[in-house]
Amino acid sequence: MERRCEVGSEALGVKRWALRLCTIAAVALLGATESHCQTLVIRADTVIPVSGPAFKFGIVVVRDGKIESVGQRAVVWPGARVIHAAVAMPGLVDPHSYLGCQNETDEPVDAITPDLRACDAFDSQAPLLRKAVAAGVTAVGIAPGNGNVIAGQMSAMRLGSTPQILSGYAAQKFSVSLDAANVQRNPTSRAGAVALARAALGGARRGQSVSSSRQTALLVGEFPTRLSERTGALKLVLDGRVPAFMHAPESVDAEVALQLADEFHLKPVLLHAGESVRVADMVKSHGATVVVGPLKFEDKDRTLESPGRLARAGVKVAFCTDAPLTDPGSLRMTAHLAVKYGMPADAAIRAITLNGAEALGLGARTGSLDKGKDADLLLLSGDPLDLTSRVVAVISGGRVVYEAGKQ
Amino acid sequence: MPIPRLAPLLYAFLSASLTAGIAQSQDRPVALIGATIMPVSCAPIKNGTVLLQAGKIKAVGANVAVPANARRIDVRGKVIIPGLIDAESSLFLSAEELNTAGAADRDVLDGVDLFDDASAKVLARGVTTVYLSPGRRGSITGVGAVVKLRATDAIATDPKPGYARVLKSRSALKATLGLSTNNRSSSLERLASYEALRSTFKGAQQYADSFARYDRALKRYELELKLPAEPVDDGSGDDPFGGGGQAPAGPQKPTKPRPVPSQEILVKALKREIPVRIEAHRADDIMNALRLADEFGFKLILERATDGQMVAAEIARRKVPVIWGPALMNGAPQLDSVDHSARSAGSLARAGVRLAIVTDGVTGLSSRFVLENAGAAAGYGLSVGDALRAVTLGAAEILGVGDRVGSLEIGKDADLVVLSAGPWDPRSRVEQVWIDGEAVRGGK
Repeated sequence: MERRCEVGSEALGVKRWALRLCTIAAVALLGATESHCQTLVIRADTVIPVSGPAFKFGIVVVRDGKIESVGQRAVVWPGARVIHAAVAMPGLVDPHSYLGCQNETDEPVDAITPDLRACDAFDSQAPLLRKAVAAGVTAVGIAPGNGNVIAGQMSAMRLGSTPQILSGYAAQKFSVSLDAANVQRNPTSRAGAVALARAALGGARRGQSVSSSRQTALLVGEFPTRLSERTGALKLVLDGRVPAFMHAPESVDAEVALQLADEFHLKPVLLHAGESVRVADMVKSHGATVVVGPLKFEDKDRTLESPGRLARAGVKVAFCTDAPLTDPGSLRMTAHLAVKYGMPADAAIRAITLNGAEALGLGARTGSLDKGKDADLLLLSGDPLDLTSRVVAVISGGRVVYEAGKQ
Repeated sequence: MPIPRLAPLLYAFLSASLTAGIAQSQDRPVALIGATIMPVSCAPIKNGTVLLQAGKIKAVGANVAVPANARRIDVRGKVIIPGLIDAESSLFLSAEELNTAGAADRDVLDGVDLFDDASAKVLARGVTTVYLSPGRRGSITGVGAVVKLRATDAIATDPKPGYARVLKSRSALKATLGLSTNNRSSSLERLASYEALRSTFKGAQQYADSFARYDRALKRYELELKLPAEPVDDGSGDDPFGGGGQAPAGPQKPTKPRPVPSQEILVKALKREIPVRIEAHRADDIMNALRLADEFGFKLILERATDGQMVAAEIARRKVPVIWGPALMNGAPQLDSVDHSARSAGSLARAGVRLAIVTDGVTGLSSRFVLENAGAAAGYGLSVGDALRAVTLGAAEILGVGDRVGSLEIGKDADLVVLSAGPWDPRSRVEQVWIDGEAVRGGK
């Protein structure tokens, strides 16, 4: 049984002897109870919860993989490990990347492949995963490519010493853009892509499966189980239970995607949709999150300014890396550039944490420092938007998965 | 007709006074007063003043005497840093220029388009000097040049148009060792790459020797010319008909070897007149570059040195600088940079290696963020002092223009940037950019 002593700072002098007694007793009893992972007490000069305003001289307690408390009240947990840092913030969330599964999730023969699941191709030993963790990314959405109209299931992964699947089917990936047009098979145009998507979603509503490939159509007829997998996957999207990540690099793609979302009551997340700022009102009225990024050094001013303009128009923005097409640790660089080109700082911080988590359907589990959420934290030596701030430690699921100087 | 005769006199008087006026305004000192100054060559100066005149830094410090006729600019609360330097930029160069194979005598300045609008965007972020590099295709790709950017609106009156002024042409020779092609490589290919570069330098040595031999042979020939001709007894005197004899053999004039431009550049490199920038990624390729420098004695600069931290001591021992970057990988993963680590800049600096940090951008626009790139390296363990130095004085010294730019010191070119806050502050904005003592951005 652990004895917990709460000591108000003003009463510290009076109760010091009591504190010592508690500590001795607790240490003696420690052997009797071994918690699954060590309790952590994080003391930070600045705590950025994201779900609320930042505050100074805060303490976050992590216990059994969850956030036990966030506040300014001094607590003492005997046996806990104390970690100091200048800044404590939620672990970063990268809502879209190809980490661990690049080039392994594309089935271009058929433009409609809703039953493909990204985590089935996930290589947990991929070296770039370590780079992501070292940069503070604790949750990542892995996805099929942009080349299919309905490309498959995105999975949400927890990063750490051993990656874990948080959700095998976190979102369905759509692409009604010209990237889905392919001369080798249907569709070859944007209108064709939309027609196929409409047919597939309408078919799923009626319990039928649709495919753009003759071979697959024949197969589907022969194997009824395959049929139910395909329609079952799409049914979840129709119910809005699973978000629809819609690749929309042009503003017309965003318009088309939102119209489809209206027709089939989808929960749209516009992906790579910096250009959707041109139809920002439409995006805002749908309550759609826009996933933008990564921002690169060679981007035009207009691209660099789009996250700021979207945020100021009231649209929820989240940043992604598309790793390994960009460095898995580039979320803070994207946020930094967005701020330099006009995005409000707090929107930028939210864009690399809570908004990405919510886009993946993980908003209740991670993305902010709130009691009861998963203990995913990034500890830094300074302001997260200052590129020179170093990562002090990364905590994922309550475990310290990265520590500066210990790699 | 007095008026026509007066007209040329009047014209001469007016133009003389006009130029005198312009000259005077150019010579009129400018004082930027009250900022935190980061000269890079020394510690930051709070509440400092920079005095510019005739394109140079006349004075910098906390107690500068500002002349009465100086134009005063209030920069209280701001931060002044030297103009930023990108030691490897694609500005003014097209993708075709960079992707075609080259040769030692290929000068990057022959392929630049100095009217690239991207330069205005680069300038707006405080980057004032860039090195234009020939591409990476081939064993030896060409020579690069250091240029200074210029404002894009004032060129119409300039005799030498273009958005850049050459600061140092033919400033370095670029070579590559062990690069993969199409993300494939093999030890045989890397060996062939090493052999190609080595035989290129050997060939240049022989070329230089052939001229030295010619000089010696010429001197011998001239000496022999002065000697009297000796009678040659070849038995022709015994023949009563005296036929068939050869004329006495005189000294032969040696033939001068034909100068080859590409070899001339290589000879310059061997004589350490221009450095050789070798792009190498693997530890063994880096060691090969160091071995080549040991064997042929050229001034080596390493580009990228992706595995540099594994051989940092060897690099530092030979005092070879490294042009490092980018901090964050960009683009589809490449075989050459598979072991890229943002941490290696810090490791190299701690081992005593001098660094310039570059964006390695696919387009000229990437040069805009040379400071942010260095900041990211600082986030992975490089000290902020070394990070700022790597895009100012350190880069200038490695480029061979450290006497002109890179720090705020008396006598150097007046290239500087006025920021609204510290260089690493995410809220910091570039408010003024000065090049050669003229405000090209703000400051008017």
